[in-house]
Amino acid sequence: MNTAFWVTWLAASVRLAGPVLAAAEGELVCERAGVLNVGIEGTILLGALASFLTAQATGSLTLSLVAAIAAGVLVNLFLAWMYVTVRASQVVAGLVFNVLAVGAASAIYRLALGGETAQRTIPTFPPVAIPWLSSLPIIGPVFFAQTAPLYLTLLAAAGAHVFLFRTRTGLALRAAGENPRAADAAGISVERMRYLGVLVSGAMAGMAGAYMVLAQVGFFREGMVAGQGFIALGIVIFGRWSPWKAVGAALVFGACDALQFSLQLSSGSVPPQLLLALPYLVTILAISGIFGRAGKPAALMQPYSRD
Amino acid sequence: MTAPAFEMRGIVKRFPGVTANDRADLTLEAGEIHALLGENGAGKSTLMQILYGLHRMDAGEIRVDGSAVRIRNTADAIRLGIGMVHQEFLLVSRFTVAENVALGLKPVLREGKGPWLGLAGVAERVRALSERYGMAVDPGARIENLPVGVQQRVEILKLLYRDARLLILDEPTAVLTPGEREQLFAALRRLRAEGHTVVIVTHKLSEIIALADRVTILRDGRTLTTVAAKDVSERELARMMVGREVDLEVKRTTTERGAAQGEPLLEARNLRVGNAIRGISLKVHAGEILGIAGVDGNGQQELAEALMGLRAAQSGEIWLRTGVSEASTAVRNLRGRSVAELRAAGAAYIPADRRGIGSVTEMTVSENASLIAPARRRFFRSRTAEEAAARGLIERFGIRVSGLGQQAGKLSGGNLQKLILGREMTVGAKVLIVEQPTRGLDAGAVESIWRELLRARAEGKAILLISAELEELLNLADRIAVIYEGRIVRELQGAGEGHEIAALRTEIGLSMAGAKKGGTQAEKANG
Repeated sequence: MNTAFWVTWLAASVRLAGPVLAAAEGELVCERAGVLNVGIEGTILLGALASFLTAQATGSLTLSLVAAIAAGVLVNLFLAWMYVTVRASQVVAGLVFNVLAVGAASAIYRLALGGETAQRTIPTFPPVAIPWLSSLPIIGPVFFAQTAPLYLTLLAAAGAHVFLFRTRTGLALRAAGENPRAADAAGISVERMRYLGVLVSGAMAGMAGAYMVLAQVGFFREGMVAGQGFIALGIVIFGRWSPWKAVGAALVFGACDALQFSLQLSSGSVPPQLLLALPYLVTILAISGIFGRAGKPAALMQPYSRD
Repeated sequence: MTAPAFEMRGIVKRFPGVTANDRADLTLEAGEIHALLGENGAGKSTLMQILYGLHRMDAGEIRVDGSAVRIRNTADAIRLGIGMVHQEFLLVSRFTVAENVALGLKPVLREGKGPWLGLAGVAERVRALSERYGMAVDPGARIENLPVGVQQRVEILKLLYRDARLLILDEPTAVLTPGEREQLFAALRRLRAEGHTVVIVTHKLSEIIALADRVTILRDGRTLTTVAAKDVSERELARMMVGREVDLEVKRTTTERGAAQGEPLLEARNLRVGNAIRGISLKVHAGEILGIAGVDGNGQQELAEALMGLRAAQSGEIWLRTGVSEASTAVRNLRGRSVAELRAAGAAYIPADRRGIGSVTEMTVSENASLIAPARRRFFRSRTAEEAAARGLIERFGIRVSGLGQQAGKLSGGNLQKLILGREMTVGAKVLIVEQPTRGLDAGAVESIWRELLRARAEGKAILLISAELEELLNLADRIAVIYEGRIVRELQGAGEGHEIAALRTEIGLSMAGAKKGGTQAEKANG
């Protein structure tokens, strides 16, 4: 195996890690506020649909990305209401929402396209080589010859870090996820912080959906998310609720995914189905808590009310 | 004459079904420590929560420096210089001291601009404040690594940071070691000297005499009187608070002493539970109360749970002797057995958490009364038997309930505790494991719980009494073992027979803080 193989593999890892990383960064902010948003799986799908339909109608990639983010925020307003105001079980509400989202997405897709059955494709974001940086050996082609949504995602990771640890609102949001009673007593609206968290995860999940459509595949299918929302949940745990560590965790998942593609092409010794299943298996183990729960917000999944 | 710093007049607060405050008055001067005394339900907390903006009053008037003010929420209260430290600290344990202080600060306050946190500035001012008031705190330390006494200082510094002139402390000494309590008192006296007003809400009479300038006594939501602390005795305060004579020292007498003392009914040998219990051996004899003294979190809860089979012990032995009579002296090592087996062998448990573990708060009084009773029938419940059992308990232990069908969670703390105590004492168990039995209860309820424990002792039960209240142990225990970081660091005879209580108190206090074997005075107390 030569340098070319490594570069191809690593570049593919980064490409494949992009959407899950975007979703994971939003989920991370949400969980820091104390809400486990299982509904990102469905949100990603709706974001993908919104971006696809907008691209078809307008042809503008930027507008499509914005539409996906807006759709994510909109549907997560409903989820936030369920989680925070109604104080429903976060897992149940999120899971049921995911089922609802699949039904809604396929219905809307069929309505929008009439009786047409052929797979429609749209143009996608081209890779953009960043001057100078992209000419570095190995690192250049791996990180700096990617598409605009990846750069946006990395910016979002940095933004999540600055927001959580350097701003007043970030401190207040983390307090809402660690000890909501203390936050409440300090004059912080726990409700508002948690709404904010859920909406941020909605925006990022919407963007993740657009990422898949606009920078990876160029079409829409109702099964296209295929559990990547759940993988994002696993990445948050692996990343110990830290925006930087989540980047690393996402790359590991992306590498698994890319390896499966590469091996499928090169040799037949390992059954590709096994590699395909690997990220999901690791996610289940991560969610089960087998790798420890250090860094988990103390009030995660606990609805808050004063009495 | 200048107007008082803070004044509450004719405060009325009604909750559905109860009037918590019924024209209560309170006057607070600058530079005084003012104690607010009353039984549970007398309206102390509600009155303070109104002042701090957590409740809105239905009628009445609040004046600050002579002018009427409106306090609609805590932000209003903070703006007026009013701050409160709750009994349960409201700190984010994974944040640093500075982060906790910064939490909820409005940018109009000095540090930080716009959306940015500016933690360095916060830390600097926290350090300055802690030096000024003699409350040493490292602004960069994480709360979870700090002892409780220091956490309390952080709560007070939070208020000072927000320029509070009035500090309300709700039961401030409940979780402190005697040494930490002295440090707190010193800090409060310093605050008083700087012109701050301090209110301590308490029902510990000795602390009022030691610390307060004036005392306001509330009863049934009304202000009974305000007196100068130096003019009253503990006994007078107790009488005013309860409205009748109260026996503060429930002394054991030799007639109460169980006859069969000498035979150990419960024995633990070198018990280890994770990191919490690091090799504890103890023996509790029939007719004896063994007290376990210590500051919360030194392994008390783990010890009680391990002895009841609720928590796995990694090594060691737990021996229970199932009967006092010669005929039934079966002795077994029960480590690793289930709760059911331990109960069957004669152990009963009164946990510290009355609402979470001791009872099912959603269920009725009679259902709770029969939770652990041996089944009469194999499959179906017997409602009549349950109700008869509940009625028996209510009568014998003087539990006040509105009916057998009342939800257990709606009972007052004292009545719920009596229900649990009664249930555990009447199942025929020979060994009682009792954890913090009077925490949060008022003087009247404490008195009756103490009497019941002494009665059980007189009946020949072996009682392991775990308590953070030194007074409770000095009043009840035959022997006192001090637990510190999962080990018994000291064992002493109780104060009953002529030992000097003051010396014993000092010795136990030092051991609770982890001190090595004490000086000569303490040696005398032990010898």
